[in-house]
Amino acid sequence: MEVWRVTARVARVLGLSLLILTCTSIAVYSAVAAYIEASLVNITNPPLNPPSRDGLVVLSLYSGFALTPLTGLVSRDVGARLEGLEGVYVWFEVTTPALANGKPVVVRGVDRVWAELYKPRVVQGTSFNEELPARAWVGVRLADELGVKPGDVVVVKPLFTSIEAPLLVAGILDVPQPYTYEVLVPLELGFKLRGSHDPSVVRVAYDPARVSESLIIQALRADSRVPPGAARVLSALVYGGYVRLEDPVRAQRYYVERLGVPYEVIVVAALIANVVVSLLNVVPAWLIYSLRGRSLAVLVEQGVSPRTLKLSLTLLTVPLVAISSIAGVLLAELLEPPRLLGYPIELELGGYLLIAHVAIQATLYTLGLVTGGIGES
Amino acid sequence: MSGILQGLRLALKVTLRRSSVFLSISTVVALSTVITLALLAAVYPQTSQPLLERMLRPVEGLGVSVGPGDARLCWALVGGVEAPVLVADSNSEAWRVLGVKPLVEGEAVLGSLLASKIGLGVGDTVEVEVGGLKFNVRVASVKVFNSFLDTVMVAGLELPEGLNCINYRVVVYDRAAVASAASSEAVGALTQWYALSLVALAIASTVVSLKAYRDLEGEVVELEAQGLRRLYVALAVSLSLASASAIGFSYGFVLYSIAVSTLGSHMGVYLPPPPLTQEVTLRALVAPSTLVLVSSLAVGVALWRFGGLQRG
Repeated sequence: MEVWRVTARVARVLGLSLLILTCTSIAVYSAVAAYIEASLVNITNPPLNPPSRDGLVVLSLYSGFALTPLTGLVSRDVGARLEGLEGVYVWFEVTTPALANGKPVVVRGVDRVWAELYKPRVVQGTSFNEELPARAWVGVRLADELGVKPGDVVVVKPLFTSIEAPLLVAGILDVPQPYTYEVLVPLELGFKLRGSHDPSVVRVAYDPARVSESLIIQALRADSRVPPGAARVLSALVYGGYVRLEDPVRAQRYYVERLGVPYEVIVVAALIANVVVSLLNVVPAWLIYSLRGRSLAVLVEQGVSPRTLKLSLTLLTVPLVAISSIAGVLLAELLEPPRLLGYPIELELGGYLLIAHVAIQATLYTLGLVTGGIGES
Repeated sequence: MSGILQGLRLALKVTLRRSSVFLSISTVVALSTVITLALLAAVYPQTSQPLLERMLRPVEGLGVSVGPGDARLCWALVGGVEAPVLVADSNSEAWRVLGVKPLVEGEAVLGSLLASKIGLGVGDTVEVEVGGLKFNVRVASVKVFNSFLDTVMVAGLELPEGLNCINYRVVVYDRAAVASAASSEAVGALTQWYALSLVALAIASTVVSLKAYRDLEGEVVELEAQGLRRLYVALAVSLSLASASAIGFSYGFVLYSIAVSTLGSHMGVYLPPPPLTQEVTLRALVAPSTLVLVSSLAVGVALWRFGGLQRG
């Protein structure tokens, strides 16, 4: 009971200006930490895999030998293994990193099956038609950035072939990610721009109510030693991990982990970055003792124990610090996200990472309150 | 001059005796380390440029040219299908890149993809319409270029100037430019880390200076009694914090070097150390130190001139 009485008196001592200063500084520190944390933990997760469609589960089979999922090639045989399975759609996509009008993007070759499944809405121009030569359709998000419209020429400089390709923009398409950030071309042209006959990814879509995952795995001739309910995705073959076929995020993480950086290390590095930045939170806590030292000392002289006083300060300010910390996370999400080949890296800190972020921020602030001395100044 | 130095020395001794000032210095060191790490992360991809150029050797190719070129790509109707037609003079350098002998008037080489689309083979004759002009060309061969040219008809045609065509020039095709453009894009985003960290440093430096000056109030009164001006204390605090920023820079540089070499050895590849260029030094060392120095001095002046937040 006494704690609450003291807390009310402490609130009057602190004043609004000091509380605003504390909250503002912590919100800025939190934004810095959140931006760094979110960039790091989400760097393995650019939106390379499309969402499920019409209740179908979409699997993505990448090469395990390539440096990145966008530059690798998968044997056409992989798709052939699934041919004839009823209720299973298989299609190829071929990707090549390129410059489109000088901007780094991914050019993706897609085909009729893709168009039937994703039913791209035409924003401008004509619908996707793989029979038209030397044409490109641009995802609506990329079209905004490139400032192109149907009838314009987009000059594509591919990474793997040595001829720049001036392509006529035939349409702007409203498609899900990743396609919305890409230049889409007919599959055959995609192969030519890539300089290969093999696709970069084999997509498999199936209705889980009609076709079981184990049937797909069996048809893919995946390793029989896989744990129940999991499959060794072709992309993961060379680095020995097991990932669920429908878990593309983990498949992408394997690409990074294969380079010798486990995802957990990235998460720990992000949390350490937060701890380093959050060391700054100690200062606003100390500042309270510096600026209100004499008033707090008077409270002690009036019989309030220093312990009760610090507890009151904690009760009063830590919830505000937690709110400021969350405000900082929201502020970071408003910033321009980092981009990799046109794909935005999400700046969201969800779930346990958000809790860890706020907990670290609040803990270091509390540490400042605990270690600060009343009446030191 | 020696009087000023002595005054500063005394002020420094008194200032650094305060544990809270020392902890403020640690705070600035930590944030300056973050700033340096952010900046090095942003500029590091530049160091991989020579590595990229070794992996992706430049080759001879065709690039779109704004000025006059070695070949022209015009949109045409080939057998009723809209398709690109590439024309070049007989003495053009482009033939070498195309791997085709200069074509005589009225002959064409069809890219394999275009040939399959319009259903033409060697010996067939097809009507080509470019800019309202009609020509009949004979397909001399169908070629697999394994590039964009597979969608193109290479024709021996004399086309007039003034058509709306795109010029091609024989270029040293720099494939590393594609990869480095992608890393430059990431750099742009990483630079935000740096900018945001600088803002945080400015706020942190203001807050820690405020605390330091308030904590040092007793010492300042004593020093004033000894005939020393408050300015010396402000200078001592500001210089200490600026030095802390410089120390943070060196920590950041060493940490980044350790991280890069550890990662390189883990991946089994040589990763060069972070660059210590004039630009990096200016942005990671000079800018934060100056920022801290100025903001700390400004807080001192504001606090002692106007009273600031003193209520305690």
